[in-house]
Amino acid sequence: MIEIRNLTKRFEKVTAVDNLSLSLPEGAVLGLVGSNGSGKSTLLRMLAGVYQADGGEILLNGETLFDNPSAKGNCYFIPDFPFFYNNSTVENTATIYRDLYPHWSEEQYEKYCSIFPIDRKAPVINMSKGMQRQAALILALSTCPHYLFMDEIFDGLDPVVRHLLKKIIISHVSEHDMTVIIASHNLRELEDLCDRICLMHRGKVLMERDIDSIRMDYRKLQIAFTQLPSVPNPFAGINVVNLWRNGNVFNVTIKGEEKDFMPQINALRPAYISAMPLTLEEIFISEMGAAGYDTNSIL
Amino acid sequence: MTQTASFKDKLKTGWAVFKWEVRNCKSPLIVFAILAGVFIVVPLVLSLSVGFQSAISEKEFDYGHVLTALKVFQMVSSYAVFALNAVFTIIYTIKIYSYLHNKRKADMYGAMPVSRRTFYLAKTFSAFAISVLPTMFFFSLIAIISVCFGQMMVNETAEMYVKLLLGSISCISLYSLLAVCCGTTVNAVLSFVAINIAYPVATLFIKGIINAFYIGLNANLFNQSVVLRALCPLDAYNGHNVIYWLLFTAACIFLGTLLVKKRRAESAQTSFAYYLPCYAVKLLVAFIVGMFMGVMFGSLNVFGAILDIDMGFASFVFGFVVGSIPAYLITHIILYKGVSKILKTAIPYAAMVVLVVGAMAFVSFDVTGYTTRIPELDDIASAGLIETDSCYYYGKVSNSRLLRDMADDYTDDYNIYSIRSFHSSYVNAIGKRSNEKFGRVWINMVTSNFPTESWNGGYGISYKLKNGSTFTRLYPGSYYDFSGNGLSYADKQIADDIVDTDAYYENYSSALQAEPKNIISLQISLGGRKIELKNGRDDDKIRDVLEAFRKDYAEKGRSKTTDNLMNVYLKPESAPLDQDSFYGALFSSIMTGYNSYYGSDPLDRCAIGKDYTNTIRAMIDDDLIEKFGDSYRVKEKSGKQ
Repeated sequence: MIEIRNLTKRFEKVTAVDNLSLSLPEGAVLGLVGSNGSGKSTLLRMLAGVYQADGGEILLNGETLFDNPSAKGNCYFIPDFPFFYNNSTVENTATIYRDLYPHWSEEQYEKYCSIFPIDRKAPVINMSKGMQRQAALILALSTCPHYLFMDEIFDGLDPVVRHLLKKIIISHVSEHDMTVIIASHNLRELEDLCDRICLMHRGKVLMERDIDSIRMDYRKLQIAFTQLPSVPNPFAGINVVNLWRNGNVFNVTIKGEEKDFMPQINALRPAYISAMPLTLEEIFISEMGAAGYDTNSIL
Repeated sequence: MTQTASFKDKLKTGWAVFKWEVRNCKSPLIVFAILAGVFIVVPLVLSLSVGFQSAISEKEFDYGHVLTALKVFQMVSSYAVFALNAVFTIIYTIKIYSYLHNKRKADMYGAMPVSRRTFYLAKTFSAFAISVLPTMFFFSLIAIISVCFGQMMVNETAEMYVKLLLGSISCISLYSLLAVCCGTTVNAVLSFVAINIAYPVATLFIKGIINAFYIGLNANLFNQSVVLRALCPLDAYNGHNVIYWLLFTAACIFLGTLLVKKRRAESAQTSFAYYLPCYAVKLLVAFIVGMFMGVMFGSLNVFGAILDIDMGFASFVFGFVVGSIPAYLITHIILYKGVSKILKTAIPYAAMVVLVVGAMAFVSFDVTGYTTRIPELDDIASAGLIETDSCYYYGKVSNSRLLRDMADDYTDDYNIYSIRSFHSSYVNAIGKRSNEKFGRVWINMVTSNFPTESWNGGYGISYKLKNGSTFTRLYPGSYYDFSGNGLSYADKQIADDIVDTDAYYENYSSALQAEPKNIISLQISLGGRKIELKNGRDDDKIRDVLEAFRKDYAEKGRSKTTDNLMNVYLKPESAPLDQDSFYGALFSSIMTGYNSYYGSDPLDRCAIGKDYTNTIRAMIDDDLIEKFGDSYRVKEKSGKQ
């Protein structure tokens, strides 16, 4: 279990993570989303023990993490730009991980080397961005971590490998109760993989819930009128987070339960009402807009 | 709750990191091995070729030529490997500690299940091993090859092992500490270079100021003294002050280990993680440039020259400020990559300026009256005077001990009066204008490589006062050569008369005071011929001659010049200093570098008269001289002539 209590991290005058608290059960897959500079990567680095918090604490199964080798042996962090020396290959990098990580599995290593289509004896530095991430993934998964932290892991991966990665992570979570935190702007991928989402903005958590309950909170409707309602604002009193109009047709994203807003909409006598699929990205934009973030500059 | 890793676990992870670092340095290690191999094979082949050719060209095959050639091989190869080691140590060390200066590496290493201290220590020891072990291997190879051909290691080559070991670990440990404190490799390297250069220059200025303004002060610090080189581990490659450099290495590693745990990983690729080296570099650079300008302006008396008034201090202050401000600003801009925080960090600089100006005011105006003070005649119980280049003990025991002991030499009124009179003349002759004082700073700095006090007859003067205290002054000989205000002949004659007394000869001549084993060479000069006895080869003969000489002296006193038959020149060796106590010797070696004192030893001349029959008999018995008519001559086959 990951417990984050009142975590704060400052870089000189900038507070990257501001009094953040979060709790994550074993086996959860958390998607960390947020605007640029919201503190996602900083949070991951503190979770991985790279950065030391200026305030608060992180506990992994009750153990503090910073500079604690035994706790860090259960974690693996894949940063947004994994580092490899000029002469590093997957094979020779594995030698140090083999010595350092207590749960290193040769079996898993062989398995993932065969699954991911890369040459384990070739210099990683000469590989493409996606291939380098695959190399990092092979090493990460071979350490059999209880906690896996990944920053922008989908970046540069082709759709097949992305799909493969999602499958592998899901199987690891179900088999080993691995807890995963993924920071990404790629909300569509997170949607497939995560059971929880944490939305960060300016170092704080705006929202942290499981995806299903988030979806239950929002409705996207397409409403068409033969004759437009005579009232100036037909949706007044409804919590509309996004509205788009094309002639007599309205696309409305509403936050709240149907029983609270459907009677008012039906009273407007629309020609038809159609429920539309709502993506995580739309929810993200809506929430960020509500938090005062300029939605045009993200994604 | 935090689980503590056991020592065994730490060792295991440390070993893993160590192996990983060695593996990562594989490529430069291979290049080093290839180059070292070349620098061994080529000189070996050339030396053997030349050696055997020379040996064959003799009438009888002379293997001595081969051995000489092998000595050359040893020296050339060892120096080449030594130089290669210096270059590659820089490469390995920078590479090994770059994990602190690169954000991506910081991510990788920071997330690994190894404590920061274990990481740092493992990397430090891998740097030591990678730097030292391959070089030691090649040194051993050179030694084995030499021994196989029958040539033992020459001392200079053997010493190189220690120098290399000491230099490497000292430099690596300072760099490791700076690497922890700096955010970028460039800053770490710049700080290392700046500290290594600026610190010795800064101390040289301080020493120069003290010696120039407080003439007579026994500030006996030579260039290899630890005080002057404390933060310059490149000096450890000279092999001096072994104990200090080992302590220095331990201190750097200890500090590095202490700091690395709390080091902010995010400071990678920023200017500094800890600001101490940044301040040290900026202040040191500002100080030396300021001192350079200040001392130059002071010695030129720029403000007072036109009106012919003494404004040396004001000129110094102006020069110091004009020099140090730009130096401080430029260093700041280089280290911070801009002018950020320039005002915030200027407080230590301002404090330094105040301190320097205050200290210079104190010494410039001789607030304590140190340079002019001479005890009143009535207060003196006894006095002593030595001329440094005719005193066997000078440079062999600590100056403070020598000055303290010699205060009891003369208790008679005449000699006390003479010494005080000479002292008074000397003090009056010292240039007291600021430009003269500042001018002496340059002289002291330029001559700092040498024990200047032993040059051209410096003087030690000491008084035991009636109140029980001792008053001492040690005046440098170099003073005469470079100042226009020398002593008059009459003044100098006073000192010469004292040096010429039997009491002085008995107390301070090597002929009567040195142990025979401490005589490096004894040269007999007779009738245009010379013979030289050498320590190690002619020990018995040296002892015989010295003992006979001392017996003659005890019976007959000093030989009269008119009866002079021959001259014997003694060259005593520099003995380890100040053996008052173990701790005294240790302190001496750590703080003053005295144990590596290399002052020139003047030849001590002993006149041998015809009445020195014991000495002449000993020389004849030892086959050094022979009867030749009414006189004697050096025997032709007795040795080198």
